[in-house]
Amino acid sequence: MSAELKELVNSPFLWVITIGGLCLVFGLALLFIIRSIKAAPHVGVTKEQVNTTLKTACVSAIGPSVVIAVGMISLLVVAGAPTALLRLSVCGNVGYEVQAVGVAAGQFGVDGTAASLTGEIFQTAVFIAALGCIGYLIVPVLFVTKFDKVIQKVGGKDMTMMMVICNAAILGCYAYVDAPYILRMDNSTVALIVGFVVTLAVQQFVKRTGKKALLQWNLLLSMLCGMLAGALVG
Amino acid sequence: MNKNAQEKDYFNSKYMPSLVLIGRIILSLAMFYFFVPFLWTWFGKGIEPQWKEIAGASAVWLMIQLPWYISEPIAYFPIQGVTGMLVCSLAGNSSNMRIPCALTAQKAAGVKPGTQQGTLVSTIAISATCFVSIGILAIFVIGGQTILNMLPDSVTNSLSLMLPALFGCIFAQFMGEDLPTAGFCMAIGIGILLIGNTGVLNWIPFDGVYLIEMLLPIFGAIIFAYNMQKRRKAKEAVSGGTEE
Repeated sequence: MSAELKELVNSPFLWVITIGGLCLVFGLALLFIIRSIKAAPHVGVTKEQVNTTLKTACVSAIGPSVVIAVGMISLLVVAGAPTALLRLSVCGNVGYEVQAVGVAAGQFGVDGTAASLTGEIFQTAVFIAALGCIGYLIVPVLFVTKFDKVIQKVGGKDMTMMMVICNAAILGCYAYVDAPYILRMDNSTVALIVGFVVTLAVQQFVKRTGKKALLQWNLLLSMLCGMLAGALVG
Repeated sequence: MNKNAQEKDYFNSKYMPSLVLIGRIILSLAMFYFFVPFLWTWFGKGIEPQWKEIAGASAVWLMIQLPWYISEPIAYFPIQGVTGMLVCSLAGNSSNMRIPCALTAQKAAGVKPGTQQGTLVSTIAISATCFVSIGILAIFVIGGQTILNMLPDSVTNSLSLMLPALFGCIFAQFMGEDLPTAGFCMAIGIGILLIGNTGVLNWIPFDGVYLIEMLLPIFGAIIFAYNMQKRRKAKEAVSGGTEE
């Protein structure tokens, strides 16, 4: 990555935008906590239950947050610190946010590594990341109150069909994303296969031992093993 | 009875409407706000947008995200409730953090998902995770950057290999749910790429071959899975009928 580009992706202005975005999340979260605590006695939730909830949620969030933070490093390398922090603090999911740069780079005919990043790729990546958020945000904005009714209406067998179709769409997407790496036959192919095998192994292990906590680390473990294997081969 | 009715009234007439309104305003604001980095690179830094590439990347990206727009609300709504959904949608990372935390908190507090109490508890839980996760991310982002600056380029470049590893991991995660569809669409994905690489599809105008390479595995998978599920349902209906 050139010095000029490094300056662009770590610009103070991007930090200001990031802090503004985090304030949106903090503001919403704080208001919701305060209003919920206020409403608790009216709904039949005791003070003790509120305290238990706060404690449990905070403790439970530590593990997944560390996993996300480590996953974030690969985004940090290509997209810079402020963008990585903003992207992983708002809509979406660590697994998908990390790919935005890869998808953008693909359109310019290069891979999503720090070495091949340009200003145009960065710009395309931040555009699609913002565009991707619209879907996550507009669904609750428009339909949140109607969801209760819809959920009950869809129910039954149609619900199963919906899940089957959603799952198939995800598989199809990743078949498309994975196929070029498989055909490339280089260290990225090794990384992909190792990530795939480690996930299957983790799933089997959890199935046999019932240690579901490991599933939280599955993504990180697969990514690290895949990266190490790929780096060793390359 | 009267007290019960009053409580129900408070939840539905005061708690929910005010939070839904706040949520709708902040989420709508966020939709526009997230485009500021793009606008800044364009007008502030003078990088001319490459619209063709942006359109292509947007198509791929939306296809990747689309199943989540539909499946996440359906899968998580009973746990989140109306208010939890609003926070969760803005804060993201539902499946790997917010939802597990909300479930654990509901269990610890002894309330059931889908009830008013459950909704309230999950709203508090999901909101609380935002502070923890962003705090930890901020520590990593500041510390992580210092470490990265000290590392040689070869090491930082190999960190990018996490990406294909992640792609493999996600395919493996969803493969277990529907093995036949997984095999089918992967075969299509590789097959169409091999055909495209030979150049026999180059006559298709406007880079249409890329679009085909992308859409064929996705729609192939959907149609395949739909028919499989239909057949499964028909079989169930037949065996159910004979039993009766």
